[in-house]
Formats: sequence, structure tokens, C-alpha cells
Amino acid sequence: MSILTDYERDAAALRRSLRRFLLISLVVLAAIMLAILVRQGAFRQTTEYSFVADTAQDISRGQPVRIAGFRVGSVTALKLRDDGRVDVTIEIDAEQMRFVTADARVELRKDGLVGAAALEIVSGADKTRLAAAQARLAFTRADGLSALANQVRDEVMPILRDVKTLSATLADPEHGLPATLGRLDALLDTSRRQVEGAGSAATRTLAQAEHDLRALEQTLTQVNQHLPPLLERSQRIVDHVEKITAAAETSVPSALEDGRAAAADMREIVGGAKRAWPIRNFIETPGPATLPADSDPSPPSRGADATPAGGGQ
Amino acid sequence: MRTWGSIALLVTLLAQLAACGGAPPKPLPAPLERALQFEQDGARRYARGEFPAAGARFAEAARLFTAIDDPDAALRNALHQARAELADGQAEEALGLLDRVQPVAAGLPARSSEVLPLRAQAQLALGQITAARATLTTAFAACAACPQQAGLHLLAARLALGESHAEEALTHAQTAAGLLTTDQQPTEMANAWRLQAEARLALGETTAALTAAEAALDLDRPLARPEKIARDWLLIGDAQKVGADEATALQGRRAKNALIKPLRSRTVEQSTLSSPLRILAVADGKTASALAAAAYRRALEVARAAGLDPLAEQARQRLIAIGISAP
Repeated sequence: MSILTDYERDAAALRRSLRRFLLISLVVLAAIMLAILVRQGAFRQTTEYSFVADTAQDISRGQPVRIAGFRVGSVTALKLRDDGRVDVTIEIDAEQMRFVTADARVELRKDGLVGAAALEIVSGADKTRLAAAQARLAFTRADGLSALANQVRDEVMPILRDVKTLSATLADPEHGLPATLGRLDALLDTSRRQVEGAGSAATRTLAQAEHDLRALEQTLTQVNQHLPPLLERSQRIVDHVEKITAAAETSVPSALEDGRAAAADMREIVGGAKRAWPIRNFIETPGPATLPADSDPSPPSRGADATPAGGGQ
Repeated sequence: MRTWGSIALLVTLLAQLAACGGAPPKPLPAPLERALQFEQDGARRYARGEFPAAGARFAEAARLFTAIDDPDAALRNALHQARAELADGQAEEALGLLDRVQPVAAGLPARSSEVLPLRAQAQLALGQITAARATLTTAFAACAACPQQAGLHLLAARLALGESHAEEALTHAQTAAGLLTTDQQPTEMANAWRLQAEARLALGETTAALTAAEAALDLDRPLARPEKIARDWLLIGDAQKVGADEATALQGRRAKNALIKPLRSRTVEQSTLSSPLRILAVADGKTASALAAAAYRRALEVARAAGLDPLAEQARQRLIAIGISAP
């Protein structure tokens, strides 16, 4: 009997434990489900916008939508329009609406040249006007690898054309590199001949200069022989002149003084004689002069103009 | 003996009395005497043909007279200086000097009539014909009977000759000659004769031109002015040359008439002259031509001896023109 009692007790305890386990499992499962829903934004408040693209290339449903690099939403729908373009609907968190201005545009960018594409909402300049819900935004596609390739091609092609033209010009036999090289060759040949001529002329000049230097050396030798006696003689003459000058310094001033006094005396005597009778009668007192009139003085410098009227006949 | 001694004493006494009787001249103030000496020296140098030195003396005299506040004498010497510069061929300097003294001369009427003829002379030498004519017109108006009137007529004659108005030139030259006297103004009289000779030569009056040129030469020789003598000889040569051409032509016409009249032949009339008559005509022309050559040679000799190269070259060219090679 006790054994049955114990078994009953154990079974009841097991049933209670099982019920407890099932209840906890249900609670955990519900919590996980709730977390997944929260994670997927089941309880988020969102706003939809749309834009029109020429093609759906690089755009797909669920593709993230970012503002300033932060994910704020995703592409919710893609629909082909009647005109062949694509209507794209995006959904972003309602609290991020404050960044979406009326003139904002959606730009398709890629992370690097080959990375995944993402849509970026770029706000416009006018920050005061926000876009309304369901508004249609502008769309641009950032340059991708092909656009960059096209740009590079556009830049490189003219250069390649120029290189082609240049190489064609250089290859021209009449005006290009061959002709230039030919002329350069002729010029170098002429220069070589001139240099050779100059060399021979320089040789002749050097020979003449050597000859002249030899003559100069002879002359200097002769001068060297004759100069010392000449200088000695000059020195003697200078000494002599110095002696004469020294003597004159004492004698000449007195002689001049005497001469001046004698001249003054003579002037006085002559003046007196001029005023004395009868000499004064023969000396003319200075008075105003009268020049002979001559209306045609015919100076020598006028000789060429002095042709008589009947001259040269 | 006593008698001779008394006579000698008397003569000595009389001589001493005569010496005492004449008062010595009052000496001039030194600055005035110095200025006058410069003026006299300038005049002597001008007469010798040393024109630059004469001009410098007159300039110094003018300065000295200005220093003693004698504007009349200073102006007189400034005009002397202008004459010396004109004679030296410095007409531009002379004209500048006359421009400077013009205001002073305006205040001295006695001198102002001397400025205008000199001014016209300078302008004529510089080839300023219009200005010279205007100055002469003013001068004639201001000088109704002034001593410079003859000179004005001579300048007018030169001006007219330069403009090829030979008749007008001759009239002016004759008027000037009538106002001049050979004794007092031989230079200007010679100029008048020379201008008459040039005017008459331009008018084709060869004989009268020759006479006038010879009269100019007769006056210029005693004045010893080589340049004018050479020009006179050139004029005589020109007159002789024209006379030679005329003589040849006249003789030719006479010979032709003498031949045509008796023969009455149109053939002869149209032909050249016969040889004897041609020889006669050429001989007559050659005589005159030889005289022209002789005159040109004299001009050449005088010009070369005086160093007057332009005139010598003129004489040489004229000798070459009549077929005579000149050395």
C-alpha cells in the first residue's frame, strides 16, 4: 500500500513539473515572438514616400533606405508604370520625417565601386518645408562603375585622337620628323664645316698672335735696354728743372714786381707825353666809332647763295 | 754871334709861350675811356675783316657802357656787334641780338631807325623772305628821309631779285645809287652797281650789265674785299658770256641776210651759212667767249687766293660750262 501511495505521489509531482515546464516554454516562446515582431517593426509607426526611376536596376524590395548613413527605412514596393518607368515606394520611421524636406531627393548610391546599392535621402536646401506623407520625391542615380568608365572614356578619347594626329604629323615625310631630322642633319653638317673653318682661322690667329707676342717681346727687350739710361737722364733733367724753379721762386716775383712798376711808370710817362704839346695834337682822343654801311656784307659762309642773278647761264 | 744867340733865345721863348698857351686836354674818366677804347678797337678789327674779334670787342664795349649808365652808347655798340655778326655770317645770332635790343631802341628814336634795316638784312640772310618784306615796309614807313634810306632800297632790290622781279630790283638799285655818294659810302655804292648789273643781266641788257659790273669792280678793288671782287668778276664773266651768245646769233643773222638778199634763194635761206661767214661769226663769238673765260679765271684766282671755296667752285663750274677745263 505504501508503495502505491509513493507512486501516486511521484506521478502527481511529475505532472506538476511538466505543466510548469510547458507554461514556462509558452511564455519564452511568446517573448521570442514578441521580440521578433518588435525587431521587424511590427509595432513601429512609419511613413511612406515614393519616387519614379527610369529603371529598377540596383533597386529591390527590402533595400535599406538611409539618411546620413543611418538606416531609417526600406523599399516596400516596386511597380512598373504604363510609360515603362518604375514606381518605387519606400517606408521610413515616422520620427525621421523631420529630415525629409519638400525638395529632398532620393539618391541611389553604392558602397564603393562594386559594393551593395542603397538609397539615401538627401535633404534639400530649404529646411523649413518638410515633405508630406505619401509625397513623391525626386530621384537620382549616383555614378557607378559604368558611368565612371564612360567618363574616363570621354576624357581619354580626345587625348588619344590628339596622339594619333601628332604621330601622323611626326610621320609625315615632308614636314614631319624625317624631314626635320634631315634638316637637322644638314644644319649639323654646316655647323661642323663652320667649326672646322673657325678652327683653322683660330689656328692662324693664334699663330699671328704668337708672332706678334714674339715681336712684342723683342720690343720690350729693347725698351728694357734703353729705358734705364733714359730714365736716369730724365731724372737729371728733372733735378735741373727743380733747381731752376727753386731759383726762379726767389728771382721771378721780384722781377715781375719790377716789370709792373716799370710798366706803370712807362704808362704814366706815355700818358703825360700824350697830353703834352705838341704830341697831343697828333693823338686822336677816343670817341664813338662809325662803321661803314654795308647792306650786303656777303660773309664767306653765304658764298654759295651769292649767285648773281644772271649767273650760271 | 750875339745876333744868332738872340734869335735862338727868342725862338725858345716863343716855343715855351706856345706850349703854355695850349691847355692839355681834359682826361676822360677811366671807365669811359676804356669803353671807348674797346669800341675803337672793334671798329679797327671790323675794318680789317676780323669780324668775330670785332663782335667780341663791341659786346664788351656795350657792357662797359651799360655799367656807366649810357644806354645810347650801349645800343650803338650792340648794333655794331649785330653788324659784325652779319658780316661773319651769324645772321641768326644777329637777329636774336636785335630782338633783345628792340625795347631799348624803342626809347631812343635816334637809334631805332638803325635797327629795322639790320633786322631786314638778317631776315634776308636767313631766307625769311616774307618777314624781311614786312620789316622793310615798316622801315620805309618809319624812315622817310633817314640816312639808312639808301640801304633800305638796296635791301629791297636784293629782295626783289630773289623773287625774280628784275624791274623792281633795278628801280630800287638806281634809287639807292641816287641817294649815295661814292666818296662817303663806296661800299654801298659798289653794292648798288652790282645789284644794277644783276638786274640788267636778268632783263637781258647785257652791255649795261657789263658796265655796271665793271663800275662795281672799280669801287670794290680799292676797298680790298676779295669776296666782292670775285663776285664782280663772276658777273662780268656772265655778262660777257651772254654777250658772246648774242654776238654769235647776231652775226649769223647778218651773214644770212647778206647772202640771201643778192641770191634771193629759198634754198640758201633754208640752208646753213656758207663757210667764210660762219667762220666770221664764230670768231666774233669766240672773242666774247674768251673774255668771259678770262673773267671767270680772275674770279677763280681771287676766290682761291682768299680761301673762298664756294665762290671758287662757282667760277670753276662756269668755266667748265663754256668748255674750259679748270684746274
